[in-house]
Amino acid sequence: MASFDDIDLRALVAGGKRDWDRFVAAAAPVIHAVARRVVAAHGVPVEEAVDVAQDVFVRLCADDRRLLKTYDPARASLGTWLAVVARSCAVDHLRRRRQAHASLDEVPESAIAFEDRHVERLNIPPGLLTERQALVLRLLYDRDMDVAEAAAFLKVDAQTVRSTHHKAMLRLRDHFRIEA
Amino acid sequence: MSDRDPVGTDADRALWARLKAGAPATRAARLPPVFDEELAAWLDGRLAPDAAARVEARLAADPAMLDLALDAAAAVQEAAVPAPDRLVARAQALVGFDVEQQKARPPAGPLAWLARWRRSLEIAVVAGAFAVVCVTGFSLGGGVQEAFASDTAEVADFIPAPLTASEIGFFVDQGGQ
Repeated sequence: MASFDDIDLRALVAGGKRDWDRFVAAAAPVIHAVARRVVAAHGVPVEEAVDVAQDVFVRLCADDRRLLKTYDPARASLGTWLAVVARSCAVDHLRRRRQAHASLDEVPESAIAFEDRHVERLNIPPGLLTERQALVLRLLYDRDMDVAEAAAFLKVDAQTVRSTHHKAMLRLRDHFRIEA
Repeated sequence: MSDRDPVGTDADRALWARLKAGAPATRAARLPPVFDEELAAWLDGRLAPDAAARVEARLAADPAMLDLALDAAAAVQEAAVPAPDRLVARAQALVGFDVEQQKARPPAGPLAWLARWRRSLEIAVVAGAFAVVCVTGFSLGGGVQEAFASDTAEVADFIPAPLTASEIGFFVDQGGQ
């Protein structure tokens, strides 16, 4: 399998065909993985993941590779950056596709639920929990992750997640005067 | 037996549920935006603590952003699965060989300099040629002096010479008769 290590970024953004082919070979697995997850989450047939992934590649090379040129190797690895950018592009693609194929009245409410998730908020006073504590509670309770999954996502060990959770719950109980 | 590693008691979950049922806060809207490159850097663990805290605050307050981060992190892990060949072929076809040929043969040496100034040179050459044609054509026509002399002669033909005394006398005589 092609590797991101083989990619000459300067040659890639300069427009070389061979560099583009090498980049596609290396990037296709991660972009396709993103597309699979996005179509599954939005109730779109999994066969459409290829079209969604293809649209991501179109965006990457559009306007003389404008999007690709924004990548800064000093900030993040190419694979992670691609996964984030591909995810945004894929959601955009499905949104445009839905607008093109159906009126809003025809779309079941469950299909546009991800729009509503923007307005879901917790009523916790600002500053009561640290950012990390709030995120850990989100992962454990809203996303139903177990400790190992949350630890892998946050790149910390499981004990750190347990400890963060424990301190967060203590603060919440104390603030709301709730007995454990 | 499940291999999951849960945390928290039922009381913890009940408390969390009560908090979720409370009035919605607008905290996420007040937080500064997190851009894709920052999120990617956070996922890679490359952000400084203060920048990481800012991203984590956004993730905790914005479920859509958290979805993005979770999907991206999972996709990086799943990238070991090869993509379909037809996706690779279609994506590679987005960039043609003609682009490579154009990029592979840039002009070198003096030609490179000429290529950079090509448009300006074209305009200068056309303007110069126009000026040469104008000047040459005017010179072939005799230039300014000859044109002036010709005009003076033509005007002089229409101006009568002053009358002499005998001519005046002649006209007086004719008038008397």
